[in-house]
Amino acid sequence: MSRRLRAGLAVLAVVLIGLLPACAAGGNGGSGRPLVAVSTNILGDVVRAVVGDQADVLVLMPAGSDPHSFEISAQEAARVRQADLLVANGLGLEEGVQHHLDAAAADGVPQFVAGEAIEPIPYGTGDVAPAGPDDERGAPGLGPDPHLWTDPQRMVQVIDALEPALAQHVPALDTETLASSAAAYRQQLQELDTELGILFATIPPERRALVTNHNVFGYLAQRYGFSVVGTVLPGGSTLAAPSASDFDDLVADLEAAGVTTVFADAARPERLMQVLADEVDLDVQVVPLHTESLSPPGGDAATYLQMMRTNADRIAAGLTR
Amino acid sequence: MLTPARRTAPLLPLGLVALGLTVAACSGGSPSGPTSSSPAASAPSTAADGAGDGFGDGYGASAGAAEMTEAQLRLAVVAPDGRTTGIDLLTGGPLELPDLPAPDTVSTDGRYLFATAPDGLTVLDTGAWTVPHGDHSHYYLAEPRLMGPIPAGTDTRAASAIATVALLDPATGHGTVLDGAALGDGEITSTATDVEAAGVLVPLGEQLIAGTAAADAVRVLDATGTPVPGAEVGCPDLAGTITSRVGVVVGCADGAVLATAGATADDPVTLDHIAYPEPVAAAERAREFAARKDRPSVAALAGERGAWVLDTRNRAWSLLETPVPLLAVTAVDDRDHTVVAVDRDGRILTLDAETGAVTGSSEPLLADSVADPVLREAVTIEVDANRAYVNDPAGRRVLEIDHGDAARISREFATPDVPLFLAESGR
Repeated sequence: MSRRLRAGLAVLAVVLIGLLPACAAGGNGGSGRPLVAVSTNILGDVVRAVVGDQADVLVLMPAGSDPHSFEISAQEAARVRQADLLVANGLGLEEGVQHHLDAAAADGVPQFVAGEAIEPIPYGTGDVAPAGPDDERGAPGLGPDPHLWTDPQRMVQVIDALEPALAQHVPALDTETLASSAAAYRQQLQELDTELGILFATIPPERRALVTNHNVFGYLAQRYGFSVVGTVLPGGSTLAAPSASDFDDLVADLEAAGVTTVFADAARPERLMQVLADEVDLDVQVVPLHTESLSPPGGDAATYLQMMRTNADRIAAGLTR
Repeated sequence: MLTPARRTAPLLPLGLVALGLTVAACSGGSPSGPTSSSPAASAPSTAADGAGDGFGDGYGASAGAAEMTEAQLRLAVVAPDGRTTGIDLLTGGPLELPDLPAPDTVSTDGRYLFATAPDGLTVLDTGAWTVPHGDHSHYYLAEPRLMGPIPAGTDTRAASAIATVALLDPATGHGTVLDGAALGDGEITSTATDVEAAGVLVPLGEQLIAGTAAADAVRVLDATGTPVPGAEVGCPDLAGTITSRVGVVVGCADGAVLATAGATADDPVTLDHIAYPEPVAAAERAREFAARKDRPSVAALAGERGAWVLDTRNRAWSLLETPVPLLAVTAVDDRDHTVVAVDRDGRILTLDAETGAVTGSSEPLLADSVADPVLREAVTIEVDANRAYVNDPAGRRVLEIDHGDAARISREFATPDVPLFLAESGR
């Protein structure tokens, strides 16, 4: 979209603010309650759990979308600028809507950035092997890893910082209620952490390797002692008429990791598994994980806690097969 | 199945400076509205820009595009009369694409086809493209559409980056810069006109790399086409350009100039001259470059001797001498340093750019095309990470080559017409 058009829409947004009495002072969503805007749906779920029904929570990122590139409407952009607090993941995750977040900050909307509450790890370093010659994973300059939610302990740190930020910037919240709901959620995060630790302990240490084409599990790997091996999956045009050499890189990555499961979103996982069996005589499982978004309600990752448990179950099953 | 573009593109006669202002008036309201694209090949993971009032993010997403889980690789095959057919490389099946006016040249940036013809330049948005993004890439699918023709000289060449498309008419030495984001929405909007350049005019970030009027130096222009003081380096008899992962390459009689952008848009562009290892005869210098998109190494014919490979990251040339002269060459730049070529016997070869060894060779499948002086010139190699594609105009087919497996012919696609031009998109 052209800058011109963006500017035009921004003007439109300003006009809309003027026209909507509900958006006047006070920053509520028309319910009389304060408004907390949240960029990602993962953090949105966490914020909802902490504020309960004391505030309206506006989640900008739709379920099942990509935090890097989702978009928001002019109406949403206008509402964000009326929020009492804006909660963002930060560390470069929300680059597609960063200009809206910046605009809200410029308007004086206080921001809470989860990435500032934790000690970030560099993206694509540590145990992450380069994903072959095709990409420059691990190259310097990729910055901090924004996918902090994959470690429940880091989410505890986020809650520890979020609670006072909510109390400070959303004075309408009853602090006692806030404190008890935050404590309850911290408890759930601790339980999740314990549960994941027990589950992952069933995986022999030499098989704790996540071979994946989308590395968002750096924090999880650090917390539970996994290595992460980036790989590239052959795509549709390759799978149409493949030969064994098309799988050299993937097979090498799997052999080096000592596992037979790839955690990846493949367009045609069954086809890939079939071709690997046919061409290189390998029984490989291709297992999708929830990476950067919750599923829509009713899915198996409708909440943050459910997403983590679903992923953990799949990882444990994939690495103990 | 295909819906026509709902918006008529405002056309820009290239010579008129004032038109930049005319089209700069806000087009208002919705960018181009939601297009109901219904990709058949694989499910879109995200509607990247579904809402008509959504905000663009400068990210390569265009209105109406769906984000896909893998690259939507496709071929556009253009007949001498401009009839255009698509091949869906994921399914092997045909794809409907709009026809072009009978073209003189066709080039692609991995999304658009730029076709020149006597009445101007036509842009075909193939509706499939990839945007690299740090550790992963984003893949988009939208309805194909035709834009233009834009009145332009017959020999006008286009060079494209995501944000900018630069057109240069070598006959007049005047270039035009188009807004790449607007082009993605089906609009032809110029951001600079009457840009003086000779030989090459290529976008690099928000700046432009251009040949000087005497075609003996490469210089940097700002977004409006004004030369940046001091940013110029000699490049005798400049010819040929390509954009590698590292920067913009311009061929010179004595080597190449490499233009690299700074870390931010405000940092100055760096111009480096990369000399040939030894003086090279005019007939053996690189004049046209080809390579896999977004890789550091690029390849060019070296006259009768074989091929040049220029590693723009290490700033080094290497000469691959071949027993039979080559007709076309391109660099894959994978772990095995693969180069794909067609030789004058009509064989498809793979070579190792580091050792110079021939690692694979087909039968002389293109012998009939090679024997015809017109069709020979039309033989083109397109290449992606896993496969290469070669048109065989005489055989009315396109060959798919597994360049990682000794030039194995993995698939063959029959084409209804003579495939005079070939372009791969979705890359």
